[in-house]
Amino acid sequence: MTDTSYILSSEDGRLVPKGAIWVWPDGLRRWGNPVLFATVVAAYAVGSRLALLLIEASDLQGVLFIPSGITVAFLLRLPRRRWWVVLLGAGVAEFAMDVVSGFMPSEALGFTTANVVEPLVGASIVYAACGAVDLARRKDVLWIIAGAVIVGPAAGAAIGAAADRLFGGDDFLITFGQWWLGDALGVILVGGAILAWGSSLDRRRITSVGGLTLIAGSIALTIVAFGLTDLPVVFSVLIGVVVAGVAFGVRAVTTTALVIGLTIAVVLIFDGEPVLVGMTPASALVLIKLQLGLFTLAGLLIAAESHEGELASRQAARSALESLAWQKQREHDRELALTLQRGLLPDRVLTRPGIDIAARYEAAGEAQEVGGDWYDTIQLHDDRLVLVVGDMVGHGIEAMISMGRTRTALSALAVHSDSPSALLTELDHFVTQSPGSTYATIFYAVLDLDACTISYSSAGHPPALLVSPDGETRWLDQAQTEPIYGRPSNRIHESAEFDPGCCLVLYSDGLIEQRGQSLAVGLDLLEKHAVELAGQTPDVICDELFRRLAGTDRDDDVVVLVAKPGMDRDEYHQVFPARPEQLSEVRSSLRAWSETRGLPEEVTDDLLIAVGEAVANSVRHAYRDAVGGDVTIRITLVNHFLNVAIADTGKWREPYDDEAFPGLGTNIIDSISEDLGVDRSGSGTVVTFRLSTSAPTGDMRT
Amino acid sequence: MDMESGDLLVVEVQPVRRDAVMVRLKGEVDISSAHLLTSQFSTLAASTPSSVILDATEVTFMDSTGLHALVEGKRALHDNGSRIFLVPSRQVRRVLELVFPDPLFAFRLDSVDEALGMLDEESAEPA
Repeated sequence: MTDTSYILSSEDGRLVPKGAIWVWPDGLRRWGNPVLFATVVAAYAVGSRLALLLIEASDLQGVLFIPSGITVAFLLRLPRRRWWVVLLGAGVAEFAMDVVSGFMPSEALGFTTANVVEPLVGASIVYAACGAVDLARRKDVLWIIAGAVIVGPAAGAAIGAAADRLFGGDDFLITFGQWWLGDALGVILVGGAILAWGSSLDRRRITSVGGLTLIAGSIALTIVAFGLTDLPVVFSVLIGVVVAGVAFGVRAVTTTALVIGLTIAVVLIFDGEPVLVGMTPASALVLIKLQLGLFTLAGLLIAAESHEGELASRQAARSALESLAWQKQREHDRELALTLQRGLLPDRVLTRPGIDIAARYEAAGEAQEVGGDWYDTIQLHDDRLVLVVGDMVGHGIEAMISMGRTRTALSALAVHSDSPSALLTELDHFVTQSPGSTYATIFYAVLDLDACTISYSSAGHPPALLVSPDGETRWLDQAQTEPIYGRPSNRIHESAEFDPGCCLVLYSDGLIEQRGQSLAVGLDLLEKHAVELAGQTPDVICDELFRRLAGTDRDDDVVVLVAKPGMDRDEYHQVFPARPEQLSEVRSSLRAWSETRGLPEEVTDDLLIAVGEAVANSVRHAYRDAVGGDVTIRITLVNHFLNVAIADTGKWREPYDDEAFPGLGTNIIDSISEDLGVDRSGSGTVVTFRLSTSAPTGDMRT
Repeated sequence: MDMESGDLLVVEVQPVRRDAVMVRLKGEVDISSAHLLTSQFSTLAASTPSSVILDATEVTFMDSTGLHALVEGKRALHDNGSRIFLVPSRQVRRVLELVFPDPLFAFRLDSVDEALGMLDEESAEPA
């Protein structure tokens, strides 16, 4: 994946959203050891001094031990190999502060040990569980609570309280409890604040107007609540922390909590002992600390929870996008394969006198891959022609390439092969020597229109169907051999009669293999519909077979090729410029067409007269109006009738006054033909009429 | 002798017998060649021959404009006292029959020889 909006985190090697990691932690890592050491010492000393101020002011122990948060946060932002610098700094600062404060060196050593062990234990647990910490992760918050807030400070408190007791201090449990709470709160408020600045960005910045309002409001409310009242309602100020978690994110939570904690501390410094109704100052302080700590942790969890939810939905959106991209790629591949398929299939079938051929290829349904079905029509040197349908096993671009190769080879070999079996043998040989794997079925037929025979051979392909003019069917299944797959095979061929008026259907298995239907049923259906359609033109037969047999939802591609000998003589279709000198050409081409169809000369005469009058009418208008345009003549010979349609592009005009006999031409057509119609509804005029192909009756106008 | 319209229609005029003229049409008469017929007829009418044999046996096509020229020419000749013998081809006969069920030409003959024979008979008889 090369999504540039993600970067490799330098902290733990995870892929994280770009911009999620603030530069500060990396900056911390770049500090040299002396700078780091000095910073830790200074921060520890300042924090320690502030805590001491608090203790002195309230005359209570373990109010809020700021250094505990500083140490553990630094550890969690550095690689383990550099932890010693931090721990050394903390130890030196603690020892020095202790000595300055008047403790005995041995006692100071005890406190120092406690304050070094405490962050080491806490950070080790968190690091082991989470690696680089991100407060926006629920898991990380929970491990920080477990390791850095509960276990680490407990360890430190145990050592500290023991040392204190050893040198004649207070009750072990009281010291332990005060120490623990004070350090835990230090980790939550100060450590949290530091760690938060290396975590994922908040949804809303705490430095926004809303964030600053939240902080200012929290400070004001804290001063008012703790300065003026002694009711437990004071804790309502902590709701600000939860608001920060819900509305902003982890940074806002830790910032707000720290601000509230420091404000409380400052208020206490000025106020003296914390006073809550019905409580000793010591109990009140414990309650305040617990509340502040718990609210902050709650706020952090809320923030982490909603952050993860957002990440998850973003992830889901991203997967949806990727899925869409995959879909598009798939569509692109399909489109490419289809383009290739179209390029490899012949763009037209052979047209020649004496036979009418049509072919269709349709790909499988939308969701399916493009297959390797193909067809071809080839003119041989000796006037015979080849019809071939093939099916490459496999789908997609690879099948296309294999198909293109096979088809090209086949058309080259066809010209030099004496028989269908010889051709398939040559093709076997070719495939054996070609690179890549080919597995194909082919039905190959050679038509001899003069001898009225078809010679065929099938390499594993379903048999072609021959429908005689009287509706008899015959499957061309007497020359079945194995598919072509690059091994010599003993090919055979057979022959059949191929009479004018019969109908030959070549196809691929997609036409007969439908879901939930046996092959026998498919063949029966094809036979039934082919017989019904045999009288139609090959174009119509192809379209109808597709419509009736190959559903739109098919899971394979389909090829149909239909050939009917003697079916192309039925239509005359010519387009001429609407000019007087063209009339003679129209007549000679029409006369030739009529004569080759063996129509009686009287019919030809009448056809020329009727068509001549209609075309002359178009020409006259086009010529005199100087509008130009074409005249289209279309004549179909169906069941002893000539259906004539003559269309021009001009507007129909009433006969001119200067014409010989106005409307005479139309009268002549009317007396020769039947069903004369003049349609002026389109863009031009279409004159239609019908002539019988039997000699005219000499019908005169009466 | 005219040779116009790209050989679509050839009109040849030659005297036959005394005071009689033979007009031989070869080709097709349609809107682009009918004017040849019309102009030939008006020339002939001015020279007032007693008889005109119109040999249309080699007319392979005639449409309504050709027919119009024929009818007009016949009328002009007739007005000037000329007689006209028409020897139509199959195609010309067909168009005539379609449009004029009643014989338009008094002398519609099957061959030129028949027309010449009729002229000879007339000249043999005393006037």
